[in-house]
Amino acid sequence: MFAWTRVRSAGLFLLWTFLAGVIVAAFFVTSFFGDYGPVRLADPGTVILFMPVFTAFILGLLLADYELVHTVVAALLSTFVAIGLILGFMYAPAVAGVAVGPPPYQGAFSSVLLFPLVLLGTVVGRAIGERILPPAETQRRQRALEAETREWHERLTQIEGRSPSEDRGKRP
Amino acid sequence: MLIAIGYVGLALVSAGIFAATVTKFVDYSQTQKVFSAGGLENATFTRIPSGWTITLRWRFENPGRLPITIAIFQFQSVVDNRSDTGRPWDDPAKLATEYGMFLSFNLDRNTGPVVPLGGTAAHTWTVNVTDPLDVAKILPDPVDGKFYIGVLGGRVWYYVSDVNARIPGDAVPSYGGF
Repeated sequence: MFAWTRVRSAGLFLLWTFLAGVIVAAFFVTSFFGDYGPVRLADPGTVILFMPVFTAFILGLLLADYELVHTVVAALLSTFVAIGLILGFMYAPAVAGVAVGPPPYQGAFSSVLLFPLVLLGTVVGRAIGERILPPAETQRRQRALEAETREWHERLTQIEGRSPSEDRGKRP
Repeated sequence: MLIAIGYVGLALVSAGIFAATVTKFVDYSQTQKVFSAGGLENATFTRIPSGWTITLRWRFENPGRLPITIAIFQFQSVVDNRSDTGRPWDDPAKLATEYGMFLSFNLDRNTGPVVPLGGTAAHTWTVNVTDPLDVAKILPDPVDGKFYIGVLGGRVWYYVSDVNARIPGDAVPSYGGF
């Protein structure tokens, strides 16, 4: 049971991270190489800046159950996935054997600058996620604390309800 | 849960966008790689009182996977008078004695002929030759009665699909009777 929970947790972590890389890469490529995309974006620069932060923010929300260091690792991994996909796009004609020249760099290696944006979004998303969507462990602790407080409160109420003479008689 | 579903949905849409972008980029490159300017498809010589009316039809071909738009095209051709079949048709000394034509069109990506993917498109030029010196140079082959035209080469500038890049290409020399 414990092993299954860990496997599920790791699987979800990798899935969310990979999907973040896909989203970031798709919007980066569509913005940066707008001629080839199915949608023409009015302001590619805004999309290049906004989508990594937004996607990473959602990733952070989804990783609220994980440790902060895992969030940073997720940011790093999703950036690697994104860069890998962007390079895959650039070299796709060569891989397909129909290249007519060198890949269209056009400054696409600036995609490494996605990392700070992804990191920022992920950390902020996790911090906010922890507040609005507390992790299961935190919720469990909170419920246990509430139950303990209630128990103490009930005991105190019982003690206060006893008569003073009864209490006096018990004094040493 | 709702966030996770939305996130997966966004990822699926993104994957579709990415796949479409990669496909178009590969097709764009493939279209350039297999590009051919085509060739002279037909030529008709019509005798008029003052000389000849020559009609040349060029057939553009597109074996690629995306449509192309021919924006600018120019080519040079000569009418071989077949007076000296012992020399090659593109012999410079021989060319100097023949009637030559420099034909072209200069359009843009919105008005140029569009060659559909895997298809062809034609453009026709009509030339009136009335100068007696030129008229005298135009003769059919005495044996088969055909007019022989040599294309010395050409240059083409085209666009692939809606990609904002004008690409140069060459028309290869050719020779044939019509």
